[in-house]
Amino acid sequence: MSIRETRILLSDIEHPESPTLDFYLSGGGYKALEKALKEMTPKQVVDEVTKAKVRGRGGAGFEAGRKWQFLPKNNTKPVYLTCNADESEPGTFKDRHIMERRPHLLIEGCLITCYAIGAKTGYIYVRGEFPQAQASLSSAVEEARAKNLLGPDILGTGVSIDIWVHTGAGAYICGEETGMLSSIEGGRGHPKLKPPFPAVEGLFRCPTVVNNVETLSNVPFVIREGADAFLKLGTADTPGTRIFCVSGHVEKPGVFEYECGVNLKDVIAAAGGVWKGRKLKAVIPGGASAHVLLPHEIDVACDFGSLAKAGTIMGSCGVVVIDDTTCMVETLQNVLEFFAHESCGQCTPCREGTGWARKIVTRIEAGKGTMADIDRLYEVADNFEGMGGKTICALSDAAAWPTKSYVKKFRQEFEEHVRLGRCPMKGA
Amino acid sequence: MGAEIQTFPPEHLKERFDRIVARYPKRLAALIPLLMMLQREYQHITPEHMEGLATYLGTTPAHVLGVVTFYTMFSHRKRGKHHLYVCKTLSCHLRGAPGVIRAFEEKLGVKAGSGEATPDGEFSVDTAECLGLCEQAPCVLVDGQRFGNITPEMVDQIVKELSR
Ligand SMILES: Cc1cc2nc3c(=O)[nH]c(=O)nc-3n(C[C@H](O)[C@H](O)[C@H](O)COP(=O)(O)O)c2cc1C
Ligand code: FES
Repeated sequence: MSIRETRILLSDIEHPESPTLDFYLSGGGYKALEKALKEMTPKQVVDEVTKAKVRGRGGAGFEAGRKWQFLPKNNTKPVYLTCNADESEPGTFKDRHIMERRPHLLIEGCLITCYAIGAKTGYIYVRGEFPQAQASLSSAVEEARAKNLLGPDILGTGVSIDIWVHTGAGAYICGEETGMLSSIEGGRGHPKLKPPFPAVEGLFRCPTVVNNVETLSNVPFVIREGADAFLKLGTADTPGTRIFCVSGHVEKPGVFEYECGVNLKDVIAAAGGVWKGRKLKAVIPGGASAHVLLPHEIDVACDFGSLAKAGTIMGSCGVVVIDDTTCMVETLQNVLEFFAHESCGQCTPCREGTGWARKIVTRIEAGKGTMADIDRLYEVADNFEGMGGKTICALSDAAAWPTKSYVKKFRQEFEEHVRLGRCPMKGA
Repeated sequence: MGAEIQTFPPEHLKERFDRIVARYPKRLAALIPLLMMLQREYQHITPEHMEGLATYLGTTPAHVLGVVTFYTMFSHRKRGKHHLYVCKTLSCHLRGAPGVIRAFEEKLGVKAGSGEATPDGEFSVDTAECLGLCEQAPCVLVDGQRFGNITPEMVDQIVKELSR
């Protein structure tokens, strides 16, 4: 079925003036901020976002409004908002498009959220490899400040909020929320044990809300149009739209914004389908961490619940399409090189396990593996899957899910490498 | 010792440094943004930078060293004036990154990720993990500029453009 985009986040991104304040204002920009500050109490804003059931777009799908309610009552410390713009999950590039093309949308979302949670300061943590996004956001902050939309006494309401753009310096783990907080504090990007959760003790040991760029960018719509309008979009499980990042072996890679619940098969077709007239071999639906899907498994609705039921994750909505000329052992090797490189090294199962898995899959790809290696690869991954509380953060899960699913679903291909003593896709 | 940094922060960066520090309730929080500025300015982080920053932000040189070694965008060794980050991750790999990496290595005569710059100090090459630019795979980030949909044949042209 051919599908149509619903653009509430990516509206007018092609327009050359899209990043400017004037253009944003002409489309009703900052109306939601004005409404929140002048007509609503912070609690009403939290309630509206809670009612809209805006699920976290960073990957885990936790409801933003509920997260905000975890902030301690009767708190006397400063509260911080930190926006997660580390966007490093392989196959993901949606936040970059928002920041570069609609920086004011994100800033408005940050300002409303700061007001809702009682924060006077927000930091947007943008990965170091995104200089354009940093520049676009920084100039948008200055534009907003010059118009009294940000800074002291916003629009004469007595509310003062500052937003700063903070740069990362190259480390996937700084996308993990507590790793990001360590990084903003000026340290190595080491995740911390939870609890305490950031809402209780986060940045500078103060209550902190961490939300993804796309999550916060939904807030202006929810406040301006109301939770009911948001709930009309998408599914009951995941209201609203999501930005699908389609890459890999498709004809037209890019970002596409659809209502949640759209069929994965249609998303791939809309991106031009498999390139060069080839056949589909596999799809990774939610970033490199996601369990891989086979061609017969992609007739599935894209929301958090349906994809979980299909045995994978919606994750970051990075859809990577793989054609039938691809070696899945080599692909897993590439994925494991990533995770082994990005493990921060604090926890033994992750630090050692991702390295072992990388070595085993490299051996199999080189034709030097044994049948026992295939089982070993699966077992090693099973072992560093940290859900049982073996590790501080979920990086090892993110590495385990693809590993186990590739081995399980493409076992024959792994065995063929062993039998032939070489990669069957690479000629004799 | 680099003659340019008798004082710390370097004179021409002092005002920008102070402005960034003022954004945070704790001075140390400015560490990574300031290191990024130094790396861009001098193509590497020297022991003098680390000592200077430690004093300026109220921490130890050892802490600064620990941070410098953690993040891939910092280096002790002087990088080329143009440092190329060639993406090697999934979407780029699927669309030909290995060939692109090889083409850059051959063109410039340096090994990717070796930390070594061309003899004239103009170029160095690094592989990078997903640059968040996968719709333009395979891609390169250099001098804050992006090149996408690269083929090995385009490598000559890109190097020429950067040398101008
Ligand atoms: C290893 C790892 C990497 C992550 N990377 C990112 C990232 O790049 N961007 C992001 O928004 N969330 C990332 N997350 C999720 C964050 O920890 C956090 O859940 C999220 O920023 C919360 O925002 P949300 O609720 O709005 O999604 C990562 C998590 C893990 C375990
Ligand atoms: S995989 Fe190369 S930019 Fe994402």
